Amino acid sequence: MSKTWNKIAIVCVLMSALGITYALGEIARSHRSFEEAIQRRDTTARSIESYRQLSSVQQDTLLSAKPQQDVETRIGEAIDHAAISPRPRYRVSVQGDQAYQSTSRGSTASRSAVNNRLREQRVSIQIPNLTVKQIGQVLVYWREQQQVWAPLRIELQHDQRSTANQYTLQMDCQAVYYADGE
Amino acid sequence: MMRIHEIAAEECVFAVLDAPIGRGKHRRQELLYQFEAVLPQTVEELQIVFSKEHDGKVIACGCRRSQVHAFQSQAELLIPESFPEWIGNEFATPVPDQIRESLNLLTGPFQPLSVKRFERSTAKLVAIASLAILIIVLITSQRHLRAIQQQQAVVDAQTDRLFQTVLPPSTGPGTQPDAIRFATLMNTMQSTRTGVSDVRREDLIADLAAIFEGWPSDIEIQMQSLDLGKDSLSIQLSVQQDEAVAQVIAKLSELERWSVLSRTTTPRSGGVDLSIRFQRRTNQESDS
Repeated sequence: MSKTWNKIAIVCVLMSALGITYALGEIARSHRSFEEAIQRRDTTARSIESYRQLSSVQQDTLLSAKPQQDVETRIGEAIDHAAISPRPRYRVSVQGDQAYQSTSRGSTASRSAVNNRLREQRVSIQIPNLTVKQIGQVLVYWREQQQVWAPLRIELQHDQRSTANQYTLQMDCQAVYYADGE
Repeated sequence: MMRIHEIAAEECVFAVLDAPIGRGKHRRQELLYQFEAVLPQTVEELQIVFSKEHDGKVIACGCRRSQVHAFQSQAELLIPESFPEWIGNEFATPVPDQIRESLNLLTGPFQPLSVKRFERSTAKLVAIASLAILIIVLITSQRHLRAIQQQQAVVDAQTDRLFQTVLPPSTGPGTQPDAIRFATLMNTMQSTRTGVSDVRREDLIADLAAIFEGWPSDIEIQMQSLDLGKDSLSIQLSVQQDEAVAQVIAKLSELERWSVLSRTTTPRSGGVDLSIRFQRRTNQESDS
């Protein structure tokens, strides 16, 4: 009888030990999970702060290699901004692209990694039949509302056939695009 | 209080045995073999105990089991009252009384009932106490876990609110998790804000605005073409009045940031065609 009770006591002690170990393990796991949640929240807050800082900066790089579509959208916006009517029949010639050669010094490792996936794209834009004022409005829009397409050359050519004092605006622009997945 | 009963030496059998070599269970086995050899009856009939070693010898004490059984409920300690005289002769030094007192016959199957009851009570107490501790620990840990989970829920809600400040509302159950949606958004943002400033190092539109600011607008001019590049500027224009050509040249020569590289004047009927090529001044030239 005494031996039976001894066995029962041993079983109870073992059960208690196991139960306590399990409970302490659960608390430890819960603590870890809680700390991870705090870490996740803090990381998210930092990332969102970075995101906000980035979003306050104008876009300076194309995301994908669809230059013609992008540049045509922007020309359309510039023409709308200048309220040119009727809309001129502009022309966009897309030239070949090449790997982006950064000339900026002191690049960090992460910047170099980004630069490795950047490519340059050039386009030539021709918008005919613009008055000097309209040219000014288009160029102001081009300079202030977008940072992607940087003019490398601007040419104004007087339209000899027009009776009004109109010009063809030609801009050779360059954009850097992020060659995702290449 | 411990009850001690001393049993008369005549009711016991004694032997002085050589100290065994083995330990523990082997020690008892060895001693039993030795004792059995000198006993008139079998060891199974006796409750046998052995003393501690003294002078390289061990005293064995046996008593009839039926006799020991009678004391099981009456005493906690059943020891021989004395040793037979011959035992003292077997040792070089007197046998201490502790040796006699250590020969408790109420051991093993004849353990006193009070001791058995005490052990049973202790076992019950240990079982109940351990179960009680287990229950207390489980309840406390559950409360603690709930508290941690509530805190975690608060932190998770804060994380969700952070995501909601930048993410568009989710469109349904098939929507990606917020963290993945944000990562996509962040990747897009990082890919489109790379800070490639050297592409925009030359602000040609600002240059063009500066050129028109210095334009001789008070003279009647028909601009035929203007070609502005990173380092060069070329202007072709027609001046209606011959005498104004010099003024136009003088005015355009004053353009900031540009120095005249060459110029060509071509007279024609009704005016003069003027072609001027400029070169961008370096910073040092501009300063001087």
